[in-house]
Formats: sequence, structure tokens, C-alpha cells
Amino acid sequence: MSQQELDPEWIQIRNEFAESLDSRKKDLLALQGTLEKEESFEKLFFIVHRIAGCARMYGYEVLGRVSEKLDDDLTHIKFGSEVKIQEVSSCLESEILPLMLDVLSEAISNKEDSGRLQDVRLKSLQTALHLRPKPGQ
Amino acid sequence: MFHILVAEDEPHIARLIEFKLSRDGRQVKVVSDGVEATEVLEEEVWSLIILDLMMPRLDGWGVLRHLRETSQYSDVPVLILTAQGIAKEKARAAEWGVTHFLQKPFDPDELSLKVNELLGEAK
Repeated sequence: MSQQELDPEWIQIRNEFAESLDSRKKDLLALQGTLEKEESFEKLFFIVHRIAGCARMYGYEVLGRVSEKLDDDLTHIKFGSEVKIQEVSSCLESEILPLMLDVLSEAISNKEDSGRLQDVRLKSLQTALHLRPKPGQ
Repeated sequence: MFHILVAEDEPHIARLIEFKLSRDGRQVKVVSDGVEATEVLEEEVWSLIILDLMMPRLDGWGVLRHLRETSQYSDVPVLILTAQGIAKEKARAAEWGVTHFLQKPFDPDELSLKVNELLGEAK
């Protein structure tokens, strides 16, 4: 165990992050059944974006990996002109939201042990979202 | 002692930066938006400014413009934190003389190294 992991301030900061995941999950649950609305998409985008920005810094590898990938895809939908939110709302509702809720639940329960399964699900979303390769890929 | 100003609106990132740099012996002040960043500039002689680009009220670009257009801050080194689209942002930042970036999520040890480098303390 590193010196940082034993530092009381670090333990407190890490606990605060862990607690914030509960409220992120509640925010996501509130979006269920609403993702055909642009404002709900915006909320989903920012929740995923914020998690993606720091999950791995706090040691949440699976949550980080999944949220970063989804952040890329949602950014592509948000800023790319090729994909309309209404065209992918059913996929957001039936695939992306449940996936984020699952990985969040795993992170909250400290059981990030199904990373491979989540990666498979992520791969299938590429087709479901009809995403085109991004520049440079 | 080096004084570092951190402008970052995501509290969990800001706290981690503050923790890491303070453990490295830096004096750190955190603000959560660009307006606040410009307001605290006069409080201290800053050795380094760590700047998130996407912030409420005034974004990182606005802060950077203010820094570069104000003679007393024009030479203060800036480290930009960015989420994505880094190539595009790098080109834009280069116009303001900024060449140091960290893409989120970053390794806190990498942050320390970058900060050491920018403060002329590469170890």
C-alpha cells in the first residue's frame, strides 16, 4: 500500500468521490424514459462527461474506461452533425443508460469485476448507435 | 515557495490536484470558474496557473486572453487541462503562447512532473 493510500486526507477525498457516485446514479435514474428530449440528452452528456473526467484518477478503472468511451460517443452525437439525438434516443434509453447504471452500481458496491462484459457491451453499442469512425481512427 | 492557481469547476478533480500539489510542497489556491480566477490574480504572485478550458461564467480561453493581455501576467506559465479535441485546442492555445497540456483523466504523478517542469524544477 502506498503512502498516499494511507493519508487520511486522501482517504477522505476518495470517500467523497465514492459518495458522489450515488448522486450521479440518482441523476441517471431520473433520466429514464426521457431521453428523446434534448435537455435530457444534455444532462446525460454532462453526467457521463464528468465521471469520465476523473473516475480513473480515483482508481475506478472499469467505470473510467466505460464512461470515457461513452463520453467520446456522446460528444460525437452532441457536436457531430451526422447523428440526430432522436435517431439514437431508443439506443440511449435501452443500452447506454442501463450500461452506465450497471457500471456505476458496480463501482458503488466496490465490485468492478465485470470489465470484460462491459467492454463487449460497449462494442455492440458502436453498431447500435450507427456511429461513423471519428477522424484519426 | 511556489504559488499555484488552479481554475477547475469539477470539484473532484480540483480537490485531487490541490491534494497532490500541496503534498509536493506547493501553495495551492483553487477557484471554480474563470471570473473567480481573474478576480484572485492580484492576491498573489503566481508561479503557475492550471486552467480548465470548460468552465462556467468565463471559460479557460477567456482567462487566457485576460492573462496574455495584462502585462503583469503575460509571462506566467499556464498548464491547460483539457477533456478532448486536444489537437484543435493545442493549435488555438499555441496562439496564446501556451504549449503545456494535460488531458483528463490524467495520472496525478504526471501532473507533478509537468508542474515541476513548468516551475523549472524537473527532477
